[in-house]
Amino acid sequence: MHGASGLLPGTLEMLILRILLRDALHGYAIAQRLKDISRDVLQVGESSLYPALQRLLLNGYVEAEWRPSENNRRARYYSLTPAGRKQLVAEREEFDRLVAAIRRILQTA
Amino acid sequence: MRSLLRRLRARIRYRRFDSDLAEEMEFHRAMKQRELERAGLTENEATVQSRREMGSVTLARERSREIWIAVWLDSLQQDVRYALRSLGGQPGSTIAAGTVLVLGIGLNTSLFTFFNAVALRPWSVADPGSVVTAHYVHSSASGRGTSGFGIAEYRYLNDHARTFSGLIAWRQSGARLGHEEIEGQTPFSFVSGNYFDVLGVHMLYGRGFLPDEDRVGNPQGVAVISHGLWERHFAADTAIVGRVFRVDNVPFTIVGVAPQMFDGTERPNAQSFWLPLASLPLLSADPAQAVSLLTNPSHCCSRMAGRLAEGVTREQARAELEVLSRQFRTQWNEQALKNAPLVLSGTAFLAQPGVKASLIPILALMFAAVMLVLLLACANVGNLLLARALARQREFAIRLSLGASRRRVVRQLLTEGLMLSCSAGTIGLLVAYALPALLLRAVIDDEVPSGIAPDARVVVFTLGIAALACLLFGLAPALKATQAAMETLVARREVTRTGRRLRSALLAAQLALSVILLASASLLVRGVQQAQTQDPGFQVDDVFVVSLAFPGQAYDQARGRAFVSELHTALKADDSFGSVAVTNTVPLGNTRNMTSFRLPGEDEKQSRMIQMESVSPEYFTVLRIPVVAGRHLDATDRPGGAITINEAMARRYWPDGSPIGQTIVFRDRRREIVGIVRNAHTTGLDTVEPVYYELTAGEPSTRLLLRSRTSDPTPRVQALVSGLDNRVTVQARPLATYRDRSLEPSRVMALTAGAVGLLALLLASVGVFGVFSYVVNERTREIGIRMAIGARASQVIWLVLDSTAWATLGGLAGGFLASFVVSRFLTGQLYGVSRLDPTAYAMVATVLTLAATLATWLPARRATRVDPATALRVE
Repeated sequence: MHGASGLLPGTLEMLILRILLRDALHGYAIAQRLKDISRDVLQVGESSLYPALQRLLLNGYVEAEWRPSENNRRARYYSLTPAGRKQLVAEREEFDRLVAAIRRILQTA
Repeated sequence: MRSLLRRLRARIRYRRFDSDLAEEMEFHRAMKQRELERAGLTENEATVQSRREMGSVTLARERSREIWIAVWLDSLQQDVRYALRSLGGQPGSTIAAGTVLVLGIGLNTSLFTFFNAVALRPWSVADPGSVVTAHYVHSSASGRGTSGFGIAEYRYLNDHARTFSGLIAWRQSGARLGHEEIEGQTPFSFVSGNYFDVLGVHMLYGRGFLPDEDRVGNPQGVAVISHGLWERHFAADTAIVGRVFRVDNVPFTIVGVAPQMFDGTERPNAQSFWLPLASLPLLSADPAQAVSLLTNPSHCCSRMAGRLAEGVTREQARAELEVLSRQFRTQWNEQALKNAPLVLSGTAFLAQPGVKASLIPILALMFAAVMLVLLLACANVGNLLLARALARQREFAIRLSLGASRRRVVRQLLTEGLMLSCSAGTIGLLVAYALPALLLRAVIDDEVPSGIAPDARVVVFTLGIAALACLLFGLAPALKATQAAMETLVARREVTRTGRRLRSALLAAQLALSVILLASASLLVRGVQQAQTQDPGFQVDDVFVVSLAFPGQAYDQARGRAFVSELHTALKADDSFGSVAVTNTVPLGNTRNMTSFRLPGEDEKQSRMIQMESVSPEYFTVLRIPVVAGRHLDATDRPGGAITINEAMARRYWPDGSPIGQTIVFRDRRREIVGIVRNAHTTGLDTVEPVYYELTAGEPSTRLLLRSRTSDPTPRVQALVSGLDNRVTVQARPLATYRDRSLEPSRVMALTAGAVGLLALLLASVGVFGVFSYVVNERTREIGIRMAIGARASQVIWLVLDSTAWATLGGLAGGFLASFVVSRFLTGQLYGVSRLDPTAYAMVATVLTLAATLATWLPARRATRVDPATALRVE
């Protein structure tokens, strides 16, 4: 769907929530973190990242706040809200179920 | 619910999401740039590289925006804003397109407004859905006809019907009011006493009729007047109730003023006032006959309607009425309407039996004409938009390459079209508010039907028309232009010669449509011309119609008869006048005396309707109508004796033998035919109906025809009348004015058709002009090169013409073919002019050639002035 990341729809949002679980980050840092942790497998384009962030904002799963960044430029930091935490748990369960199902099919079919 | 609140909060908190997003993405890019610089790139390289890596920022923003705002709503707003800017950017062509559309839509809406008000809307009464009109339907050789009910029959039905909460009856009539000139005929109805109660019409002032005011044998001079009459004639006097006004010089007391919306039950003819049926004898020259009309079971032809009782279906009501009417006729041994079936229908004019069949073709023709104008307007605007859209290819190409979908761009263009057509529709509605009433007032002298104004139905119609127009003129150019823009993207240069086939098709369609409209218009004009110049069969020049009005009650029948006879003698004795005749109808004067006759040996059932003229022997001398066989009526004949007939009657009833010496039976008396006179168009300029002439018995005919030796006989006639009785008012008018007036409807029709046709021509010319200008523009470069290598001006002009020659020829040929077909529907209005009339088509050809020459000449001339050097620099 969106972007070239090849992710299942909705997965990107879940990953962002997971990354924000630790600390508040700005968009660029989120993209970096995604890339690093996935060992360059997931290179999320900006045209996918920012819409995903907007969707999270709109749903109230994350909050945004302008703060000075490490290089003293104004940056917008995203942090998880309680609703976002709950959502992450729910999505993880759903995702695990889905992956298990896919794996079962791949192994037995 | 909670998630909704959450969203709402987010929406408020991040309402500046757009600028936030822009700044944050710029930060993102800056970070990327820094990273690249660290990796060893120069600042400039890093800037460029970071930009490239960011990909389409616009796309990201667009997608983010989609998330925040219901997508369509946002893009709609955007489209509208953009459309406004783009339309405003080229005010000239916007105004041109808008004007053309206003004309197209305004015409359609006006016609529909009229049609809606006159034909579709039920009577303005309480709960019109439960009111039905009743008719007898009978089929005869001449087609299906309907007839009404006798007043005696109505009273019987009203007394016995259980399926109706009330039945009403009325008769339409006309009379001269005190203030009007002698020929004036104000339409009014005689109505049953329960009329206003059953219809649930609440008076603006005063009251409706009381049951006592409609008792046969006890006529009361009371009247309810319409809102229109109240305003026009009584200056909206609020203390009107109780005032007396004169109807045909008989005093009536006003008891009520009807509300503005109620214009009677004779739609589309508005009524000016209402009198009780029982007052018929007051206004009749023959009171005894009027009483018989009210009581004799064999009379017919009043109209009847009723309000269905609660829970009763139309079918139940119809069945009951049929049973009751059969009972009534058996009771009186009345055979007149044998077994004619009864029908109930709604109160809208179009719902009346027989109306649909006669009205639909005319309306279809009119709607077809205005629809053609709309199509023409659409073709025109379509062409204009196409040219404009093609000129914007570069812009579309850029937008497409920036990631806008083609659908989005098409929608953008359609929004522009929709804004154009909606604005045009709005102005069209305003036109429809004013135009129909204005036109009606110009055509009708009396009461204009109330409520000729757009209602919800009209608004819906206009919206539909506007949307249709938008699709018609907007979709094709939008698709074409975006396709061209996509080709531009691929070919990396502007596609210049595209949309050509579409443009040719539009041009051909425009030409064809305008040919159809022009041809119809010129045929109608020729028809009127023909009617005006044809020999009516009687002499119009120098003949004057003398009309008299007697001072009301002072003149009874005998007195009136005596006066006419004295005046006749006096006029004959005067040197200023040639022959003088007495008549009961004026030639082409809009009134007909219908009566029924049968041939000897036939029984009553075979009676047929015929027109009768009661005249004095001089009638034929004054009008110079010659006798073709037998003799004229003369002084030796007596009223009620011999008659003469016209050729049409002779041909219809005695196709083989001579009718001279034959007899016909009229009111149970045999009348001998002594002569046949030449056909004369005394009742209408189209076809001559069978007529028979009898000697006037001197019933208070108030009209004389005279042949004057002076140009204005009025003073002399006036003097003679005053000499006899100065209370009698008199008026003398040339017969020609009657002829002109009878042509009025046809003339209005021809005029309207002409106006529509000219409008069509104008639209088509603008269209042709536009297309040629465009062709010249498009090929400026080519023309320049050709001129540079020595092409002559004529060759260049031919080059331009050639590119549209097929479209032009095809359009014209198609138009002419189609008009042959269309003209079949016009034959009724052509007064004998052939529908292939060469003059009419020559007129069309001339006008079209002139218009086309003008429309092509200007662009063609510009083509020959193309400066090769400039032309080559164009690109």
